[in-house]
Amino acid sequence: MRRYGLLSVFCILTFCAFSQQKPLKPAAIASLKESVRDASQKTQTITSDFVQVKSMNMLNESIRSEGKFLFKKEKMLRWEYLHPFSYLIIINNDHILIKDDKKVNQFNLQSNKVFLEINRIIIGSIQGTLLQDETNFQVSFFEQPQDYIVKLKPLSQKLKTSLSEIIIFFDRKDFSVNGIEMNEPGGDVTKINFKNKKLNQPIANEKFILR
Amino acid sequence: MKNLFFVSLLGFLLMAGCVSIKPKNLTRSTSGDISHIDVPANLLGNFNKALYTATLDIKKHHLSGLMLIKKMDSVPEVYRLVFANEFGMTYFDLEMKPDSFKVISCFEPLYNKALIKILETDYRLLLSCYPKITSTTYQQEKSRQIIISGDAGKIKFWKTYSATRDTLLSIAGKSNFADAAKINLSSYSKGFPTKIIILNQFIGMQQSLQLLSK
Repeated sequence: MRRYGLLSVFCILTFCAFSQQKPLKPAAIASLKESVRDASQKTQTITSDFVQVKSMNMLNESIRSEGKFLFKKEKMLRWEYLHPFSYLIIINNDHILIKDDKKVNQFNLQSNKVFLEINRIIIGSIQGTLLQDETNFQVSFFEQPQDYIVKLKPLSQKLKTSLSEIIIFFDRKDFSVNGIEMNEPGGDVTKINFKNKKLNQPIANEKFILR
Repeated sequence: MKNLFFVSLLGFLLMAGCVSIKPKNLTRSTSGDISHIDVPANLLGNFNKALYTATLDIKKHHLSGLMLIKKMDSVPEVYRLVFANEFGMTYFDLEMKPDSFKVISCFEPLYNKALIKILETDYRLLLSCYPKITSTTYQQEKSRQIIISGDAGKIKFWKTYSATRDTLLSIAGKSNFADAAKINLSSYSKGFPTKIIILNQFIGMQQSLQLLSK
């Protein structure tokens, strides 16, 4: 019995050691920033599947959705939900198209403060530009076996009401984004994980045409 | 000064007239059996939650995402309504009880007291979440549809049921001229409306909900 107890403690300690996020030292932070900037400059396109889970802690509910994600420099984004519902969002510079099963809505991003802010966060996370944005965020850097982790705490009072923290997970090999976690002040968390990621594959501009 | 009063009164009456939501040609029911309705008093019926794809259009602005309506408690009724965009960020999270309404969180650009008040009326009507109700049953001469008119605190409402009394077709109601709302429920599947449209004509707002799961 005692042997099992010791084994359990050993397992727990091993798990903790591996799952622990270690803060990065200043030299490593500078190096990470540079690597992310370089990777972002070299990345012309991203093709990926994604799994998104919104966990509503107070309600004890979670909503899982899946789809395809396409990004093309500078500001072209195709975010297509395939399950459990069909939904398409295309952002092409300042224009946005939202298409559900039957209805298509198009509008200018500048006319919609809500989407403008969301777009800034999503594009900024994917391009890694948010981690340079120290005027709007308090940025801290960590590492774990698979990823570098950048935690961004909004400084603006307005953004603080909707997001308490944005966490971006960067791949240790190619410094692309593996996942984004958005924490809300009420305890809700949305995790977006990118899978089957392909960088710099040709993507036709037609994929981002609004029609 | 007197002129100003009359101009204001005329303006008010015009505005109030613009959002007339009361069903027309109602005859008060005199037969006893007509008051029997085979529809749960509450939208969710026997379910505790429903997940919808949702859009909210107000003038030129368009918001879309998912709305979760969850019954947290039955006695007294407690509901949570969470509207989040496709990326998962919460537009608003509201808690509603028969005698209270609380904004748990609201995306800053959306936070407007008048808008929140209108949303409260919309969802009270949709979920029949009121403190106390007194009601009267009517029937429309031509369609034979049953209309239940009720007073629930500050809110006055009219619920229109099919002539067969087994389907809730629409809800209209208001607490003042600004929050007057018309709610259409359609595309029923196994007794549950899969499509809901909430129209607030006065401020030009429309919400569309399409059922995903329950």
